[in-house]
Amino acid sequence: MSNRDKSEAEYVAPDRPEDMRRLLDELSASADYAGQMVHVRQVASREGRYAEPATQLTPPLQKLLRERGIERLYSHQAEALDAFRRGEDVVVATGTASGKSLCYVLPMAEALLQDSEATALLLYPTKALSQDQAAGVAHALTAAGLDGVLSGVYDGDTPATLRRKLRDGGSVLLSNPDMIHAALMPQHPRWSRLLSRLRLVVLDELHVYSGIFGANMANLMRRLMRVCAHHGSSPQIIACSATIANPDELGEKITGRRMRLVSQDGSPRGRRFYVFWNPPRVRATTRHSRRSANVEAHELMAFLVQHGVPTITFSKARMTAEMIYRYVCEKLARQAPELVSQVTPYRGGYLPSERRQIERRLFSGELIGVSTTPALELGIDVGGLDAAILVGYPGTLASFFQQSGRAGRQERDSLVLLVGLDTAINQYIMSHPEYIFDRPLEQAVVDCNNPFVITEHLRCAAHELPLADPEQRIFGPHTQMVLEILQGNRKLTRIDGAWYHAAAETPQHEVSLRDRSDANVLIQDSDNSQVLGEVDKFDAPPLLHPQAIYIHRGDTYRVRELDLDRRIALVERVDVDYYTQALGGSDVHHIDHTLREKPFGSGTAYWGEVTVYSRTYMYERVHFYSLDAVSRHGVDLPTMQLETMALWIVAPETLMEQVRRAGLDVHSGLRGIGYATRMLLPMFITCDTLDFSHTVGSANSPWNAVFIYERYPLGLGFTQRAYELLHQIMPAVLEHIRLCPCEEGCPCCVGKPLRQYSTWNVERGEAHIPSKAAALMIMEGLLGDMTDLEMPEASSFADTEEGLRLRLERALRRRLERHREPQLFHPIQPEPRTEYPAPENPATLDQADVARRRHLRADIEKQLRRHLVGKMGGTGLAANAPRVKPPSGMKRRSNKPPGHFPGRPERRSEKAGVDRIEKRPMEDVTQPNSSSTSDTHESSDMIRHGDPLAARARKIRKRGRADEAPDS
Amino acid sequence: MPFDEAVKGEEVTAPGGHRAYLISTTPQQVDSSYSCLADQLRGTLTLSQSGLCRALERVGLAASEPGQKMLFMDLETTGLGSSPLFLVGTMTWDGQSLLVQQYLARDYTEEAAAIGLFADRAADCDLLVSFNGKAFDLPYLRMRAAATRVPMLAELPHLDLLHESRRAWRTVLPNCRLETLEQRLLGRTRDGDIPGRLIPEAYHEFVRTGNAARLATIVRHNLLDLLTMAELMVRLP
Repeated sequence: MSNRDKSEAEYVAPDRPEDMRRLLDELSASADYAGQMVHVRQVASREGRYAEPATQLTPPLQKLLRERGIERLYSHQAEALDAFRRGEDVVVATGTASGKSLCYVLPMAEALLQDSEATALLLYPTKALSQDQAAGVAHALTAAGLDGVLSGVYDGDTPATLRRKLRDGGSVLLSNPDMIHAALMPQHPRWSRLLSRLRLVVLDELHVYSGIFGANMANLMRRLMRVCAHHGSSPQIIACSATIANPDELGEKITGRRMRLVSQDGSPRGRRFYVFWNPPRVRATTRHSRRSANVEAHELMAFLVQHGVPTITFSKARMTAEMIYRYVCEKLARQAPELVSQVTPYRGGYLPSERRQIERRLFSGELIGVSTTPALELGIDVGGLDAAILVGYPGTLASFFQQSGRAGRQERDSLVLLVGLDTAINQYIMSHPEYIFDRPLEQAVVDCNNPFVITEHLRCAAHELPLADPEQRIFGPHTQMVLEILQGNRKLTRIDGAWYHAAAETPQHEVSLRDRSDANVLIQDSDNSQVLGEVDKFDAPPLLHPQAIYIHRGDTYRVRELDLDRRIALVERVDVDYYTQALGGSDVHHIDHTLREKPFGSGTAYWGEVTVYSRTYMYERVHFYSLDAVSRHGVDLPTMQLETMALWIVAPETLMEQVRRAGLDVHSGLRGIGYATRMLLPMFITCDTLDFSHTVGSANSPWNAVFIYERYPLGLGFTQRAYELLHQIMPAVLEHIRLCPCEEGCPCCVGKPLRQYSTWNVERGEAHIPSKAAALMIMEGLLGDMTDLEMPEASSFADTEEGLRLRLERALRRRLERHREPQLFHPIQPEPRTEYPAPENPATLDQADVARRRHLRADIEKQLRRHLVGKMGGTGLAANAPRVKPPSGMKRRSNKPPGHFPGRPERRSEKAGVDRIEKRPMEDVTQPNSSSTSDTHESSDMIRHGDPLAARARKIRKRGRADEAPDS
Repeated sequence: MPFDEAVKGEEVTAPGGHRAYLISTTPQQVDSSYSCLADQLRGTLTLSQSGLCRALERVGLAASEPGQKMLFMDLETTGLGSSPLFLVGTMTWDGQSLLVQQYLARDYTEEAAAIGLFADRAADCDLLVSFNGKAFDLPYLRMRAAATRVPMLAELPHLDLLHESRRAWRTVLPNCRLETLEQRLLGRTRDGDIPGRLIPEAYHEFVRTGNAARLATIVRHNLLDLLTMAELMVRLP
């Protein structure tokens, strides 16, 4: 980018190697090199292309460019400006660091110069991005001579006084969709000054608005445009996107307007080297055979940093980003101590001020190494980086190129190193580079008419302004149905041809655009009460259980206390040479509701709502570097519950029997199928393998149901998509398992081995020791000759339009029921309008047989004592006298079974390699048995024979039953 | 309870052609104890040394000038934040007597008319009197006017009794909520009143079911608020 700020131009790295080729040669010549470079691809450099806009820029705008150090506009910048001048809505989709921000800053400044009253709204997907851009925008406005124009960031951190100032006098508002949705929209009449003069809406990082976020964003834009029209404005839209397959289509879906696509990138680019780096095999086994990718990555990073190459390392999790940083620092401390201070970690959990500081130092060139999570993938201008190390394939091509784009600027060489993890997709890519380079980019998929999504937005829209009948078409074909359902739920009402909000709450505050719960756990340093970061509540136990080691900016902290009610984890700074790894896992506890069902091959496939339990009951301390587990410790934490969506496949019992007769472990085969399916899902849907987990069986499903469920509250719609694509996915899974070269199963096909004490470890995709042969046999039996994989839905309705509509309506009503929570001003209205059974109460599902039996027994004992005391007048029964109340201060021991803690379900043990031959019938002691034989058997279970008390108890119970009998 | 039985008033048409419901009451009709309120108010206004007159001077009005029209105002809304409003209660003082006029939206469509009628009413008044109106009622009304596209109200001198009460009784009372002032200064509590936080839900219920029993309570609640304001004014030290 020829138009860089000055601060960076001044920075000159000491002896920075211009030629990456030479650097690679040096790398491969080193003693440690063991053939890790499995693929090297060189992408040729590109000349810059420049253009003049159709009409000359006015002097103030020329001054703006000069101040930025720009002599000529790139062709795409001029093209965007021309289109905007013609009154078109524009989507700009060019590479990273191609000067996209100028594509909207220039038209904005021009519009403000023409009309001093005009306003503009700039939307960035994250708070960090808007804060990052604020200074640049303000600077540009000043440079163009627009000194009187007030611009500012409007987000959750903006103080109230500034908010009012921006509302009443601001011209340029930088914000994020969530803030617009929750703060501006409900109050839109107060913003009428700004909204009525709105000239331009900018959507930066458009490609982020895909999936559920995209659907929400599209509906927010529909609402925003509706409100703008009410206030008498019709702003133009400029959207900027990274390179994806369908930026124009995405832009049209999000904005509802026809968009002019500007995609001819005019910025120059240097040579770029893509290197696929596969860690060497260090063990001959099929499991854990390769060297850790994190270890490889830190060595590469240290190497590059020592050669003066500014480097950014992307890894997937916070933990790994911190670990790589730590490793690099320790390596540099030995080899080049002066560089240690120039490397930093950067990830999502940091506080805004910390992030700002890191960004500033990166930009100024003070830092030359950064270890990060995908948080830095979005367009934060981090300055001149020449190399990017990607630890593991980021899941999508768009992400891959976005992260790669962080390296490389102007005509300099750049280097992208993809370090392969020991997983199916990564190893596949290591051996098939064409998967990256010869495949079209992913499509960004947005289902903006999704009835579940519009349900929430229609409430908001009606709250903002009454929704007249003709406006219904804005929200797509399902609007009418959804409105009627909402009326049934007493949220809206229809009067005189328009829909009005008819409830006391502010719906915008109940709807999250990102569909993630905002119940986060704060991590607080107990020494100075400083907040170090936050994590989602559902993910807190494995990360922040007591005694866990939490790594923050390379320092180790030990968790002293985890308070899930107050949502605070107290940590203290300690120096240790280990980190902790939680053991435990999560599984589908029960099915709440089956929403769809279809025959699939010889079995059946389902999609519906499930409740997932997640437990962390142990952790191990793992030594840094050697990765040896030092010791294991138990933890006592409550079970976390997650309501989400799942798809499950049930193979026929006869097939299970065949597999068993072949001497194979059915259960393990099923787990293998779950694992393989989950690992391949990202090839069919835009998602990540970590968005899902898999388990086999649940409390109220067939024992052999293979579940794939989403790890987000109420799901993001991935499993439904997978359910619909099952006929493509499952044959691919079979093919994949069959073609895997391993003999007995490996992490690339059916899964990793089971660790000691761990039933399944979600993070690592571990499962029961998987049996490849069993998995193959089940899959072959299930899919048969692949003919009947696309069967119509098994449901009372045929697959007519009417049937589809009815099914959708059922699902919607059901979802609303689940959503309905007591509101302060809106007490629950009982009277669900659906024919559904209430979901099973988790409390009763929780209660283990043992607990129930004990409870019952205690009850009978009590009755008996009372009876006897009554009969004998309180004397001669010293030994069996009713229990005296213990003196105050002393508590009677609870009759809960040992090891019980709230929420922990008692369950049958699932030992490796042992098939459950049959399902043990549920013992239900609460129901009176009809036959007398089972009666005595049951009594003997509860009360020992020979016990005089027991004898009397039996007598009393018999009498009681005799009394009851005539009634029934 | 049917609407007609619960609330006595008449349908009126706003300039835009929209309709709302107008409930007119005099203080005497509410309770005989209010019958002397007008006399008290007239008396206080003629005393140039009264707290009320000093307060009026502070908002830029010569208190001694006769024939000034005052407009008391109190809103009831259908929710928090920015939900529509459904009842604009006004009470006018023309120098002689008090008249309560409440503009009620019988459903969500009538909000614009209620606001419009209030704006008309305010046009020929000289002073606006409210309790916490500077922070809540007036901005809320303006916001709803913008949302329903009713022409904006002209600026009026505005006497906010919350501020005046704080100035006068902050040191002697635990707080200056209207309820507290009513209890401690006027020595009365309300029977069968609806708490403010339940009002939105009660109104939505009325729109949904047509049962006006609780709506009548809301109208009365609003009416008493207006009367209490006048009584407070008389007692300003």
